[in-house]
Amino acid sequence: MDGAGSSRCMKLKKISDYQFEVEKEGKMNVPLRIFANEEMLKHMQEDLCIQQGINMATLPGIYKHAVMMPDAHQGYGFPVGGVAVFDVEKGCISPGGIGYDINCSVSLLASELDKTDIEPKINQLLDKIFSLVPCGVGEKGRVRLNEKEFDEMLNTGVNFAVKRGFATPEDREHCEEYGLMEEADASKLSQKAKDRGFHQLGTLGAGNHFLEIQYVDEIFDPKIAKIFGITHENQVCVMIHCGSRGLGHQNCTDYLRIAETRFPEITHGLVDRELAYFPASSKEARDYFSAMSAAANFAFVNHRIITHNIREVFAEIFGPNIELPLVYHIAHNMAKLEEYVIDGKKRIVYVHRKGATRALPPGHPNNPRKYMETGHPILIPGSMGTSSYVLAGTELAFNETFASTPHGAGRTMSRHQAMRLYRGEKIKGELEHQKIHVKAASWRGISEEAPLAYKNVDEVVKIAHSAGIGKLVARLKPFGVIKG
Amino acid sequence: MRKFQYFSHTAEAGLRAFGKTIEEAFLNAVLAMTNMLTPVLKIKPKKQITVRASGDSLPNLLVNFLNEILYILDTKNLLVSKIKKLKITQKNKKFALEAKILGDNARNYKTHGDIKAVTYHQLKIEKKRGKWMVQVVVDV
Repeated sequence: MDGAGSSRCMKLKKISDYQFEVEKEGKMNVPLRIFANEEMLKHMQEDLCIQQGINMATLPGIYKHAVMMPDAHQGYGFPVGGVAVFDVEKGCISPGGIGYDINCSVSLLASELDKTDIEPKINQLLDKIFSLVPCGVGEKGRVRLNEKEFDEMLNTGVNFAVKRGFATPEDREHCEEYGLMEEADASKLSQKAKDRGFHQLGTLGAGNHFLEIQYVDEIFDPKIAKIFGITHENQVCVMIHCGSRGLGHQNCTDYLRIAETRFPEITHGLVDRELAYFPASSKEARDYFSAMSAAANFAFVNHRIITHNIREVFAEIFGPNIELPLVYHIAHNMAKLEEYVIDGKKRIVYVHRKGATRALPPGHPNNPRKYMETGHPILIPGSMGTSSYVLAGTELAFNETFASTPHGAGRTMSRHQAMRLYRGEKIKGELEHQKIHVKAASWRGISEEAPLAYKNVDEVVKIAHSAGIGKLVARLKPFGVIKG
Repeated sequence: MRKFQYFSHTAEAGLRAFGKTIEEAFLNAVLAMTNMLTPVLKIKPKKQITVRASGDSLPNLLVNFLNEILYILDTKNLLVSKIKKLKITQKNKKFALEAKILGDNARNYKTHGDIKAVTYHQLKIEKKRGKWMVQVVVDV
């Protein structure tokens, strides 16, 4: 597929103010359902994401409709902000439908402190966290495991972190999948993938990954917010955004190569090479899912170690009795086995969420006990220096998007363009003018992540709320940012 | 002749590298990739490693070679600034590459961003008017 050009010629049918559809035609097996308003839809037509959404719909064994979120933009194969669900026998698993950063995910910690408690010491806090949570190229984590322990961690996820004292049982309870993808099998990861991740536990990475000290700016639904542990405005929270580091990236590379070489007849028959997939019933599909699950567990544990280090810093600066409970840890690049009623029949299916977040409704059995009444928290980070949001799941999302909702702001311009337009020092100055303190490994990292290079997250969540695929609970704003 | 240039892609980053020979274009692709992280001209060629890659086509060889460079970055912390004796051979339908790469520890430099992987997106190799051009998009 040629990446140049745009999707301006698409025939889009309006279903409602916030739902549009490309009807099934040509090679599509199902329609494409886009959740957006008219304005956001115009932005989507500036790159090839809608074409990618249409291409998703051509894959075998896909159910109901392919889905695109309001923050969707062009990605690799699947659009970022794409959701597609496949039969476990006749369908497929596509590594590009998860992305290179397997289990790129967000954790939110809520403290009992207020912004006024933290502000006098914000630079000290950021400096200390920066020293304990490495970010940037070549940085190594502080946790050292031997090979056997590393495999155990990959196979047992957050249980390993609990065993080693990096996490509590409550932390585990508040992770998606309870911090463990049970299908994980470390032996299905290549040695190269393990080598890349071996020294990276407890590191943040770079690019659009970050750690933010935030305060609660507005609470939209006090009842749900209280259950989530968000109790009042100016309450301090900490948000972590990172994934499976080099281990996950290498795993995707490895399996894309396997897909290309073992199933050339499939790859050559695709409308887009990047949709390379494994037939769901194949050994390769099961191996990929097991390897992906192990990489996901790496990310779960990575977050728990980073959380542990943050808690150490808070205790050192603000006293040992300060608690930072985990509100939730949620993924936005993952494939899952989930159950839905489709065409009147209960089916377990492969759900691909690439740049999309799981959003279970109230009462769903996979919610943690504490969140059964509300559905688990949905965490939507903004871009650097902008608002982040907490939402809750809805029945409509469960029925229309396979329990999925947007993951963030989505980019509007390339890093190359952003760098030409925005100087890192100037952006840092502007953020500091807004009283947002930035600790970054480089100026250029800041300019590439300039807020204007992203869609407006406020608009994205407003659309999600209005479309009924997520219920607004709270808005958080940053006052301290750490990035690689 | 320009060694490399970048082009825009919404979420990822594209590079094109040039050479009088295909080997030179491959070499410049490595430099272009390193230059995304830190100015490649400032990296001292202190340490040398031999790298090998293979592929069933030249474009696949390029992707596999560049991914090997990323692997070396993550596992040996080596930022590559120079390549010696890059040789591409073909036997039947298989391509193989061997090269001596030189560079320095990433911690000695201020780096920005992160390259997760080299993709097959917009992958292209062509020869026009005696000049080779290779094009890849990397996931950042």
